[in-house]
Amino acid sequence: MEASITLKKVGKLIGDKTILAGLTFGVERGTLVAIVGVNDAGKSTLIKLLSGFENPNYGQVFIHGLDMEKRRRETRELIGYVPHENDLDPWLTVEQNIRFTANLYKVNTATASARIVRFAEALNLVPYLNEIAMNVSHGIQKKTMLVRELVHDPDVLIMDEPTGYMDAESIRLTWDLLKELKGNKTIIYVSNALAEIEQAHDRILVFHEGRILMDGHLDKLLESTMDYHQFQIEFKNLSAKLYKQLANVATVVSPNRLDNIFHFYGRTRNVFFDVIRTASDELMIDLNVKKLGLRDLLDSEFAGRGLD
Amino acid sequence: MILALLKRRLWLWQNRLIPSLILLLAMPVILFALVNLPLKNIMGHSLSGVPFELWVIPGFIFVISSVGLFPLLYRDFFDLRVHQKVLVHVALAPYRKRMLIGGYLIVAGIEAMILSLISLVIFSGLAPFPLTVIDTLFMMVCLAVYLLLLGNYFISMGLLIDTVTTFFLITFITFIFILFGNGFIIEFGFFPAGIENFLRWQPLSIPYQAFQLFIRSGIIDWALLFSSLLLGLLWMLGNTTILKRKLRH
Repeated sequence: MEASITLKKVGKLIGDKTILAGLTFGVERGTLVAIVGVNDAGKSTLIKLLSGFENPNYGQVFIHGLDMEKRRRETRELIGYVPHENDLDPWLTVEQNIRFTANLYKVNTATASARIVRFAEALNLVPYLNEIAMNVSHGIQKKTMLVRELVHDPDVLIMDEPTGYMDAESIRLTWDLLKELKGNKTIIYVSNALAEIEQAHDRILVFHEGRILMDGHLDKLLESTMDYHQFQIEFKNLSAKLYKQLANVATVVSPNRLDNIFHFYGRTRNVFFDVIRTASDELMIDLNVKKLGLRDLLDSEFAGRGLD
Repeated sequence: MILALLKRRLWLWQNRLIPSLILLLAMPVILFALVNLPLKNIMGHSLSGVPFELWVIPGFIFVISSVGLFPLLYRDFFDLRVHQKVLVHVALAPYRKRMLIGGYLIVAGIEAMILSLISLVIFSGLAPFPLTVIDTLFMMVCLAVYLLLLGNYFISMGLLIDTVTTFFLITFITFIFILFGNGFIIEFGFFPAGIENFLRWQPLSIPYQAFQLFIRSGIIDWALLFSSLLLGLLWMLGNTTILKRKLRH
């Protein structure tokens, strides 16, 4: 598939601190890519570089094959950027904010009107179009920022927390729209809403200390850990001796305890029965078995060392 | 870009029409009542023999246009910039930074010129207007050059300052300087020689001096005007560099 975004050895420093360290990767056209990672991992900096908000200290960023530094004007026409925080003009109405962007990008009035109607209806924004931007809720402002970018029909949509501040219904509408747009547009976004990412991605980039730690579809990322399950058993009384016995079960991985709860990982569900057998004389209060998900991947211990 | 910025200014006026209109009408009336009426009884003529009203009414027009130039540049280059709004979004649009600075200067200049024309009409209603049509046209040329310089000054100030208190203190000093340090109300001859020389050569006062020379003697000093224009264009390039650094583009 053709590359929409390509990074070649891109680095960003702030003072002496390396924020991004020689990143090289590509994003295919029409895909929906999520960037996740702990705070200060360099996600937002990457988004700012991709949007043209900031320049890298070294390396090159290409949008549709055009070097962002050398072909600045052309690449900017291709990009729509939705920042995390509200950057609307507070004294313009919601619609005026959108139309201002349409005018900046020289979108003709009829086309802009048609797009405003389409996207505002999709996001249930129509009742707010004539409200002054600073008087509407943060969720409405966020939806306005999304429509404001879509009105100039960018090929690449870059978003920082696309559903930030939104209520459940707005989140659903926003993802419905973005999934509908995917295919025609390359969408790359940063989010901490892991449940949303699990539902909406073709690819996830897991960032850690300015580098890509993992890259792929969630299923692929979990491949190495797919067999792992997370178990919790709450005992009436988890003595030190019992904890030691359970932790020594050969198939138990990364055991730990919280009061009377024994927490561990296992490659198969059978591990659970090994533990149950070992503790068969003890009184158990509660049991919990869960397959690992994106949240577990992002756990710093997990991401840093792996379960083994 | 210019059209987009112009439409946005129109929308902002429309959204706050009543307070904006009140301020627009009040400013020339207050200046006329509090400055012109008392001072013309003290200074009948300037040191070079120009009647006070012929001196001060164009000065008022320059002062009002200075105030008219301020809101757009203040909002976008300081207030909204420090709150990370609008300017970054505009800067990401496919335009050169030079074009962006130029666009803002043109739109703010147009707004200031319109306000100055409205004040001119108001002054004509308050007292006999002292300028001929030719004087008025030349005044608008000098005003445009002055607004180019002042607009660049406001942009530099907006981009270089990041704290509200500092910005407002400097703005306060700037407007005192605009009122009294450009020869709009008080002729430079009234100042001690050292200050007079400084004020005569500071860039913001030059377009008004060119205008005063014209109404006194009918002479157009193109060298003064073109040097101011050149300075304004160079300053614009300087502001482009500052903007790039501020936005880290």
